[in-house]
Amino acid sequence: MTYFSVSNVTKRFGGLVALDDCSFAIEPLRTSCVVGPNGAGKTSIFNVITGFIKPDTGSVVFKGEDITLATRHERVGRGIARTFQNLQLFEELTALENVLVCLKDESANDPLTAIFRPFHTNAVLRRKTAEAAALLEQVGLGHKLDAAASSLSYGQKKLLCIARVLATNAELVLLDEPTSGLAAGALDAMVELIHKLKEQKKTLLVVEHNTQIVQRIADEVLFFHRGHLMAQGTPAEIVANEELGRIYFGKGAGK
Amino acid sequence: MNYFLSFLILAEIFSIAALSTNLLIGVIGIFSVAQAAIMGVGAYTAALLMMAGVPFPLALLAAVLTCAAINVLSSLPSLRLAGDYFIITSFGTQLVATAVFINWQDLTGGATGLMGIPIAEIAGYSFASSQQFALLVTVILIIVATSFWLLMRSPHGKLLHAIRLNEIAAVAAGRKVLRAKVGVAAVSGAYAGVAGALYATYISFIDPVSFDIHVSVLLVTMLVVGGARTLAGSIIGPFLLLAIPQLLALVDIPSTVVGPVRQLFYGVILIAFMLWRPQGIAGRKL
Repeated sequence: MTYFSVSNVTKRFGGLVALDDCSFAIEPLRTSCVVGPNGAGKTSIFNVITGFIKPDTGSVVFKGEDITLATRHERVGRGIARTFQNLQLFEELTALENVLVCLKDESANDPLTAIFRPFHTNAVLRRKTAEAAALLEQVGLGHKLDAAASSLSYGQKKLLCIARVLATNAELVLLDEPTSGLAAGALDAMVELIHKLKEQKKTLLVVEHNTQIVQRIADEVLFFHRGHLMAQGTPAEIVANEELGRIYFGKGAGK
Repeated sequence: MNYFLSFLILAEIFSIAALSTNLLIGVIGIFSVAQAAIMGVGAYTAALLMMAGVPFPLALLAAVLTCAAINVLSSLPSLRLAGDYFIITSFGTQLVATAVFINWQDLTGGATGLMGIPIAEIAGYSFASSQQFALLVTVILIIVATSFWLLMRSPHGKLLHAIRLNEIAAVAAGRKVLRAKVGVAAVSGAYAGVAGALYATYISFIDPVSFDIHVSVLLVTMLVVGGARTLAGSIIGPFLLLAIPQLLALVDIPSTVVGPVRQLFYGVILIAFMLWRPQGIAGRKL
């Protein structure tokens, strides 16, 4: 059984073809980087996989089940979660609260329980607070638990995004440009964190522009161009492909 | 003494209504200007049942359940309509409710309203005097305020804030946003039902004007002045704004202009707070 696959997915926005008959499969526990020039369809394929846009045609299958029409929260429940290129944090909440509201644990998550079972709710709150703190510790934000998300540096915000996606307990984690805009130190911390996620047996799908980072983290690369999957292979195979180099870096590149 | 108790009772009833408005506008970000209409449904429900001989506790319960259901229904468009568009929708809900209160004469008594609503009585104990009724309303306000506080400090309360701040992020985290909105609208409606039922039995007379758009806007103003999202703000706002008519009564102005002057005061206060302290007296930054 294929772990995860996208088959013949096409998505048009008016005259613009965002995704053009895309098909690929991903093996579990591997890190696949999605690369390609701007407008290649990288974020669009993320949006299709996580249910933020519905494809015009094609299907998405996860662990043998067709999830093409599943709601967004159903997909998270099945174990697929994502981060966003533009972060999408709860800016006014603390780092701890940002993670706490993303925890998969649904207990005491309704108004009647909160009002009529206060002691139980309190116990759940304590447990969730501890879990959220542990996740923040894991991503290196243990010293920022009570800081408002808006007060964090850009690099810290990106780490907070990872903590939130981990809180959902997803096994297939989609990271949309986790290293973009990061300074050298923060960039190394992020790469180290991605390696940690691999050790925790997460399957990763990562949109990444930096080819050096791709070579440091990727087991395989999916190369997109104009909404079409041009190639899928190891980083070495993709780098060696001169045509892809020309598309990505411009005319004459790779020579 | 009765003068003060009457102010206290009304301010406490409006505090319950403001908590209802706070849950929707302040906490989850559904900007409704129809909460007076919901409160009115509670008032008419309780009044009609009590006038038919139903005991106060049962009438109160019926008002709570009816308003919870109506508030969920009237909040449903907010699931598809963002911000400003929903304000217009809720404005429409308010106008429709007032039209129903005026025109369904067989049930509501039309523009003249319902008179002779019995005084609250629980297990044979009548809350006939102002002191007794003040005690009843205070106890109920404490219960409602405690439930609000418990909700806000729970994991679910944090989720409600998160949904207001960034719905996309909440959905991406696997949260059931629709369920959360329906839940909070039900609780908010229940609070409005309590406020409406208490108002009807205390004043013993209700008419469509008691729950018209002015009252809805007054509730929003109370929230802005007191401070959205906080428990204290929902209580400070009603006490302050309901004190204004009492203070105006002390000033020697013709009775014909008291109403417009009061509206003018509310308007000026609302604008002043929006300009200089948009988070309100007790509120957090908006």
